[in-house]
Amino acid sequence: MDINAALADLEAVVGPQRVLSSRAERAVYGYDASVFRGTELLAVVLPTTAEQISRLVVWCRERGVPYVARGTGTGISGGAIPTHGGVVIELALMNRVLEIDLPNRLAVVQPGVVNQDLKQRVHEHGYAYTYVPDPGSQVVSTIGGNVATNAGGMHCLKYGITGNHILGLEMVLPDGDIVTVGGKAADQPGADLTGLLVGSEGTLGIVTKIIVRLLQMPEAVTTHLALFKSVDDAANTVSDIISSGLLPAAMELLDKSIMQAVDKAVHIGFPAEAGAALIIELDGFSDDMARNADRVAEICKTHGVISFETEEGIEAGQRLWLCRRAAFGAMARLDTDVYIVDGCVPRTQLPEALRQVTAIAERYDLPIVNVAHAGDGNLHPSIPFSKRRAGDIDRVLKAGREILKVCVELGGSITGEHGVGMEKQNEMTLMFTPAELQVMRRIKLAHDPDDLCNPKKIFPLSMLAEAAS
Amino acid sequence: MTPSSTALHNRLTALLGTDNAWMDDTTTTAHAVASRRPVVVAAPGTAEQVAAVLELASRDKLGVAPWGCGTQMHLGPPPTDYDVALSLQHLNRVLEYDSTNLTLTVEAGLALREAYRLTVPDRQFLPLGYPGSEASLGGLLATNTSGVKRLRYGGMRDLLLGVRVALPEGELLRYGGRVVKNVAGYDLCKLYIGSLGAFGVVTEATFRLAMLPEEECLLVAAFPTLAQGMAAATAVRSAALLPSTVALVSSAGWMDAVPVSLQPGQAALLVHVDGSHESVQRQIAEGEAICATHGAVEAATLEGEALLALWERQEVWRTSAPGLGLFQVRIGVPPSNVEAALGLLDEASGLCREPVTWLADAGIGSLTARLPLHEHTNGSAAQVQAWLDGLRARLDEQEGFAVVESAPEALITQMDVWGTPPGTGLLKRYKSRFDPQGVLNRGRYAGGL
Repeated sequence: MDINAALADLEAVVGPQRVLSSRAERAVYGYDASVFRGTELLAVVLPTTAEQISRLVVWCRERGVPYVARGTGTGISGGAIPTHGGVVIELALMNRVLEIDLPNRLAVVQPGVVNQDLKQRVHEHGYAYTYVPDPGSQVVSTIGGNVATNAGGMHCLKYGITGNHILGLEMVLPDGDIVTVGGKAADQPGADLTGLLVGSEGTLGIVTKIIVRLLQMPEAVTTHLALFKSVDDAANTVSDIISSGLLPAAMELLDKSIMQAVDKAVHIGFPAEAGAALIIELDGFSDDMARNADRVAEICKTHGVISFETEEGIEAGQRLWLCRRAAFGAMARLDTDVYIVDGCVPRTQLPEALRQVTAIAERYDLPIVNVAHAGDGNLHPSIPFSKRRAGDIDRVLKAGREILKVCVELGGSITGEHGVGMEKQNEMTLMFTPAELQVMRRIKLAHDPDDLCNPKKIFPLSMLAEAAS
Repeated sequence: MTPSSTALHNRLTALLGTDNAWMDDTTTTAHAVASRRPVVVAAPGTAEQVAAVLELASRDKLGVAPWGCGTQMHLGPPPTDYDVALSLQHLNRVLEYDSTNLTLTVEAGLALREAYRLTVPDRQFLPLGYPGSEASLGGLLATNTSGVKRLRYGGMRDLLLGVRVALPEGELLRYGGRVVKNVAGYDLCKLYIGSLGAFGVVTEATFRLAMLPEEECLLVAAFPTLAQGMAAATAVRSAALLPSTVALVSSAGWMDAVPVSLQPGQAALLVHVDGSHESVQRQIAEGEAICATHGAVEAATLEGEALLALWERQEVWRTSAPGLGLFQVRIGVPPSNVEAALGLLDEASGLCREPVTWLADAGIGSLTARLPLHEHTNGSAAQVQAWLDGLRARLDEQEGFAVVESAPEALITQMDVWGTPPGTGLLKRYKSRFDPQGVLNRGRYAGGL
């Protein structure tokens, strides 16, 4: 391919300032927040409209050039990494909130809008409504990226994951068609295509417009920090709270190893006998708060709670949330890198999953620390390591795979909220039979028969190799 | 190829065993869609047998229409080829009720009321309809039916966690799972929501359950005009309340079940709340105050059996088979356009012998309207289609849509039942890859599929 001619073509679509092609510029787009690296790129383009994206993908298709859409690159599964060269379509300039429609409880946004920025824009209209999904990366990650991974967060137990908050999409398909699915009216006739396309990790097209649902802010919020002797006590508390009929907005669990790391980082002063911490957030009508908080305290007591603190209101609650919010920062102090595993199990299997994680950590001699969205069974065993130490990364990836195997055996999933990307392609065979993967692949082929749109992701490499031969 | 009925019956009996395939008049008539009867009715006992029937049909290019409990078979035009009625009546087992994890896995032929019967003793429920519903869970899934509490508890797309599905070429596959957070691969469960079996027959499904509220109560208030009722509905939605239903109903239809008196042209507002005793009492009091401010002439509250009876009447009204000359349409709009959408129904009065009756969910933006057609319009598809085209054009401007839910056979076979839903092009692409022979529900689904 004549590189200069290709760059001229791309500039003709998006304008000369919006094609990045220097060596350094191309190199930085080979990364995301995962441990993986991409291959040499042709260029990075920054379109501003769906029509430009349509012309770009048609240009790519006519020349057999692969392309990958990208938001802010916070993904940890390598979903936005260009693994086969080609063009990165950076959506950072498509960052407008197009509409905030409070009477209909929705907003229409472009994919490059940062999650936290959307929340702020909604709050400019008063604090009655909000956009709920809050992945840990919310201050940086984009709504488009959240849609691509069907991102989770801390409040999924009560409020669901990103897909539950997406009402409709506009997508540029790999043949250049611009399609709309779903819409401002609920329950459009026909299949739930919005639900199908959310979480497709940029492999079925490029989302250019997103209709999100807004929810009423709760009238009252209380936050509770409960310390327990063991992870089992904390996890059983979680199950009992739910079977008592309460539906907390969030329940986050920390094990002893991460508590120690957090303590070193932000000096909470956890007592020595504390083996697990549970952060519980309740929300609802003010009439119910006192009674519900009392019930939570009672249930904690039956599981031998060591200490139980309460704060009223979102602002005051931040003090108790600190130990959770500081967790990933604290991990960064443990070593030069950290590998985050993203398994999910039925909630009641969480203690067993964490026991097996500990056994795996011992077997691989790795200092695994654990945080978990305990209410929904999504565990994040996190492994501090160093890319610079020979052999570390192999051991870490192997341990990660074993943990995912355990999650599937316990009735769960290899990914609760971060996606498959290039990280867990081979682990897909733990969850799906070859026939199930083949049928899933029909969706990919219906959209992208040339496999140019974020190519060779999600599906097991062996399966893709077989299909190619 | 159209097989001889005896040959087909024999082959299905060979697959399913005796007494699981029928070709007698009584059984085929009971499985007629409109006036079209299947050649054979087949009732597999296992998911594997469902797959085997589909594989046979695919090989011989037969037309198959899946049946659950048959409550919504009048949706969509009748199948253009109807060789086999695939009855899921024997697939009605509960596979796993995991009350501690709030999940329920059942076979697709199980009726919703059986799910209630099972879970209510543990103070849990599947919020997809009213507790006596005779619809099968597979049918609710295939028609994307979500029930009256959707505003608070979410719809089918929020509650379905996993499916097992038989494909036309005989594959038997699982997608999704039993955990709420699961983003491994494409979420193929969603392809089966609302697709009327066009991409495969769901044989089992896993749902998330909700805890039964301590208390529930329905506030009913009568307003002299629709505009006043609508203003009250908007005020209820804007207040710090969390109702599970905010709906308006016309004066006719099932209103005799509603404990307020309404004159023609008037409307009643229904506000359903549930939760703790304190929060229910407070929300009802605030709801009553809002209704009074907006000019309600009468109000009442319903609880317990009386409340259930009202939901049942509503369900029967909404889902009963089309009577003579009855035309039912479902309209979806953004909630703030509900009043305008109701205004559009006035234009149907020329087609009707009696006033149009309707139920409008103002929280979701969903309207069901029943048009009792004049005898002379009854058979005139062109006339009704012209009205529907006009309605759709106006709804387009409001970002809404209209679907025919039931109609006299003379009309439904000649009308555009589905309109052109967004993404129809994608549905066609999938269909050619999932059901290349067009075995499933031929001619019944959107896009002429």
